[in-house]
Amino acid sequence: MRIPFFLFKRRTLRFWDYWLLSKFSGKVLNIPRCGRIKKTVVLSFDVETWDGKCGGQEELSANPEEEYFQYLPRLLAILDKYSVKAQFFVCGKVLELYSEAFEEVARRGHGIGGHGYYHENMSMLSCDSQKTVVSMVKRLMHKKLGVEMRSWRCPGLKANIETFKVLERLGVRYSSNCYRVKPLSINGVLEIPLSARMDYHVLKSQGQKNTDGNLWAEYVKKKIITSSGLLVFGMHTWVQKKYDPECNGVESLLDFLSSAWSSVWIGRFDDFEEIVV
Amino acid sequence: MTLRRSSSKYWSQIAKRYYRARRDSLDTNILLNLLNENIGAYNPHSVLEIGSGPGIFTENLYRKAWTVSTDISRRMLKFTKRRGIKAEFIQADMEHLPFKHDSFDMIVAYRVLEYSGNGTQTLRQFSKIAPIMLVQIPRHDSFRGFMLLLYRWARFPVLLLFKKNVRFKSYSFKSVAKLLKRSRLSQVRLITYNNGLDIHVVLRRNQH
Repeated sequence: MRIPFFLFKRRTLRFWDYWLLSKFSGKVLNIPRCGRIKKTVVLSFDVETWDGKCGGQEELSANPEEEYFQYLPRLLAILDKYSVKAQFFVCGKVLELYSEAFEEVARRGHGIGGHGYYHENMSMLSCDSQKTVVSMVKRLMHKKLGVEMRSWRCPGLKANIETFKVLERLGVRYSSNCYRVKPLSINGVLEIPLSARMDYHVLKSQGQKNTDGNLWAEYVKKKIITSSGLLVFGMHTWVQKKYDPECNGVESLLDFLSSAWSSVWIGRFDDFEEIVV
Repeated sequence: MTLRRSSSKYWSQIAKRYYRARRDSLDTNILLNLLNENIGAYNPHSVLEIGSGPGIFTENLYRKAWTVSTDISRRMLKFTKRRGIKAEFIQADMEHLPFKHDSFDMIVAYRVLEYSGNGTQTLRQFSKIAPIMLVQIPRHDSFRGFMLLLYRWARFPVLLLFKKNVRFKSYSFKSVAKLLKRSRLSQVRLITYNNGLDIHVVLRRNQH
């Protein structure tokens, strides 16, 4: 695909860029509804804690051992209880240090994708550096978990047009780097946009005073009820562990979804192959 | 989301009285039968109920499909919830519904259209949300209809209705035909019941 006139090579893609791409250059995709299914939901978790840092930033509450060996099994047990598959985006460094925790995630059939190696800003890197980062994470995933990396989320949702070229060359099929546009294909990579970032600090910034687990779940429920089509919810495991260590919010959300199985489909990005046309 | 406060307050005030008066009435039973018949025919997976009130029809609906109930009055929704009805509840005005295009299989709007300021606009909005609509419209154009209206409302504080400035519109056959024509929906089945004083219509979104 030729780079459109409004995109400089290194510029971070913003909402309007994705919108213009969907209008002029990219291919907008329809996610067809299977029979009576009206809503397609993906729960995605970003995993980015190591060495006292969360997402590359110093964080007092960072406790990777507790996050990966106490919180994560609890979350997996709840997902299993409702037989739901979620999507995890894991940093390369986390995979290197705590691979045993993610072997279980892969074994249970959840989708695993890349999220940078050191949670770096991809749009600030040159094409070659981006290629190195993606291939390193891909190799690590294959070596440690025996899983082929097929999805990617850029840290901080910062990507440029070269990122998509690199992802396509390295065999990544799905990416999730933007908000509020229709799913589209960029350089052969399916860009599946986020509907909302479901973290407590985000909800707080939107004017919600209470950070109770159920409040978070209520917000997502309302979003699911009132919307139709594709809904991708982004969460961070470290934020969830900090504010909702018992996974009450996730459990209440899945409980709600279990009553609406007939009209809501919930799964991971890898399952999209069957439903994306 | 905008809510007409006067309507919201009025329905909150009469929630329990309304339920007691309407739960066993003859026209409720007829409507319940019509609802069951249509649900059996269309077999929807998700239903949006507009103006659920104290949950007379929600009681029946939630066992058959995933149901989301909306009402302008929060107290009405709380009252329904307290009765142990396992549906999802959202407070919303039927003229400004917060749902996106094609998010449900069916809409059930019983005993609500008469309170809408613009029936055509409301029906068009319904048709965007779901392809099939079950609508009940009261026909109070005859003398008998007027008497029935008085009888129905005699149990409630009628004067309060006017004091609170709640909209109420009665339809004749002509005005119903006009409404359906203007809203550009295809009419699947129209039934009059309760001695011809109420109209039940099944509407379908036009495919074009």
